[in-house]
Amino acid sequence: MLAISSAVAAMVVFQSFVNGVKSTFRHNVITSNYGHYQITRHGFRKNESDEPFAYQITGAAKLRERIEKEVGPLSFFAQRQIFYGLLNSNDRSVGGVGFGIEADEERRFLTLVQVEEGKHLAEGGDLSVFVGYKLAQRLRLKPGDNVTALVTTKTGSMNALDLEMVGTFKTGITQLDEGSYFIHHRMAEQLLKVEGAPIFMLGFKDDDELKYQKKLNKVVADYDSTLEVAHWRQLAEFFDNTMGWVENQVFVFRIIILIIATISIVTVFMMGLMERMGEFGTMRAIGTHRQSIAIMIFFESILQSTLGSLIGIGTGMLIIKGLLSKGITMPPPPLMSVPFHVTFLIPWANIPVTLALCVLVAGGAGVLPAWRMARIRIVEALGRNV
Amino acid sequence: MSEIYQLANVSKTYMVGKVPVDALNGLTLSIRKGEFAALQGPSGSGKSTLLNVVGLIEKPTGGTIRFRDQDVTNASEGLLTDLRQECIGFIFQSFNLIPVLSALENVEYALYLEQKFSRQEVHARAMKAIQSVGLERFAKHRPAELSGGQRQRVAIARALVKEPQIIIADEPTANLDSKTAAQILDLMKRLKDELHTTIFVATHDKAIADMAERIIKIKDGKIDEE
Repeated sequence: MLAISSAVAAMVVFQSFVNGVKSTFRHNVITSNYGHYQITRHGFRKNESDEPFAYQITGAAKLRERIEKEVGPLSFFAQRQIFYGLLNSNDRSVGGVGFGIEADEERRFLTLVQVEEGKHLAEGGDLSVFVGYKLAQRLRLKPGDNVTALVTTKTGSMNALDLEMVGTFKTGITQLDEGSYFIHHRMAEQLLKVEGAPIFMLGFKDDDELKYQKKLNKVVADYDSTLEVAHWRQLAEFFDNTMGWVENQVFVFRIIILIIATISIVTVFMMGLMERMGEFGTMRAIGTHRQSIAIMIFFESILQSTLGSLIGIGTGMLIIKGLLSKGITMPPPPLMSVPFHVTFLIPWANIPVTLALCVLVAGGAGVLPAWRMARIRIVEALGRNV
Repeated sequence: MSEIYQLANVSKTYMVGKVPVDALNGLTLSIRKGEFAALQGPSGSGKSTLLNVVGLIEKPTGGTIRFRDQDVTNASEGLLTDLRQECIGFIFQSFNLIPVLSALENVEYALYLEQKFSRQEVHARAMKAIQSVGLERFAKHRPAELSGGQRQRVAIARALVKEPQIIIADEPTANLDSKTAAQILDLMKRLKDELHTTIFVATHDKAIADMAERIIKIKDGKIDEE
């Protein structure tokens, strides 16, 4: 039973770790750059680089009002302008991705955008710029330095804006930290000579954003049929890739645990039965049929595996709530640049499956010993009585 | 008296490694219903093998065995199990009780196998058998909590509770002191007198041999003398 309990406890703890990784990673991705959903015009994602200003959306306040009224309460709703251009400072020029953001709105929700040095864009004046900390290193920028943003406007002319670097940020997403900067949305409109923004980002107060998806799609389509809604997982493809990678590892780990557990269970069970061989010999001698012995042993193995699995689940939970209650800090996953803290989450949804799987495997491990014990030579078994 | 067993030219060969060893060697024997037969012979003479063959827990390698006028030489394992369950009671030298069951449960188990009685009736009959061997005070004790003599009495109760046609006993008093051995002998005599059970017992015990109606001597796997 110890073998079964240990295997189940290991699976529960490992699954809780994976759930923790998934939950933390999900939260980080949402709150670093994506929000729950993003609204754009059809074709924007595909053609943005060719026609960066052909997909502007206006009327953010009106759309927000409809969504809040008809879909659910929002935590934030912000316009985002994306543009490409040079940042120049200290005789250095570096190409980067600029974001015109509504800093006060985004700050409330995108909490993973951490101020590394200086202050947040929301605390700066109109002509402020908030730079990815690695990009700032490349430009040797410090808070208070002057920077010039040089961009191509909607009309195709060049335009420049002198800005003051108010701080650097760290999102944990390598791509953002190395090559992006934020300015106020209203300044981006002026700089690029555009109105509105190609992206409206939003986040619901409730973290279970999927329940709003259907309604949100309908409301947005009703508002303007040229608009589309993308869930954060559609935008952050690396999330599914990374989690797929982790889950494949979990699958292999589970198989290894199950194989080791099965071999251990068969061995331990067989040893236990060998000790009771005299008992089975007596039972056979006085008239117990082979199949009755096999069935009895099989049910014993099912009972032991059920009890062992329940004890294992309890032990796993105790380990999660006791030894691992503070979680652990993990190195950065692919495409992220900061370590992240994983809290172990009890895998409630997986527990019935784990229980069934373990009972099945451990119970199945009793089949061979049951078959062998039912076919013992009675005389030989009787000789094992002490 | 009619015959309950007829063994004709029975042989049993074991392989010890690659060497065949003849435990029974063309043995012919009849056991009559209701008789008390004692089997004697030196160590290695084939006593235990003969008991196993008669008890239908070993099949012979040659010859024929008839039990209650039925040829059981090549009977299926299922039929042999049924016959052991319904007709044969065993008393082993080392008691062979099921350690996780109490004295009463050990006796009840033999009756449960037959599936002839209700739970209450099984309990009542087992209790009566336990009382008949004087162990009512120890009915709920497990084998490990009983003395050797008490364990053997439980084994006798288990054998007699189903009122078998034959009781096969292998050195039933070998592990007991003389006083307990005498009690066990009394019990066996009562079985024979009251239930007319056939008793076939392998023994070195002179007291048992003196009580037997027939003494069968075996040597080198054959009947040597009667």
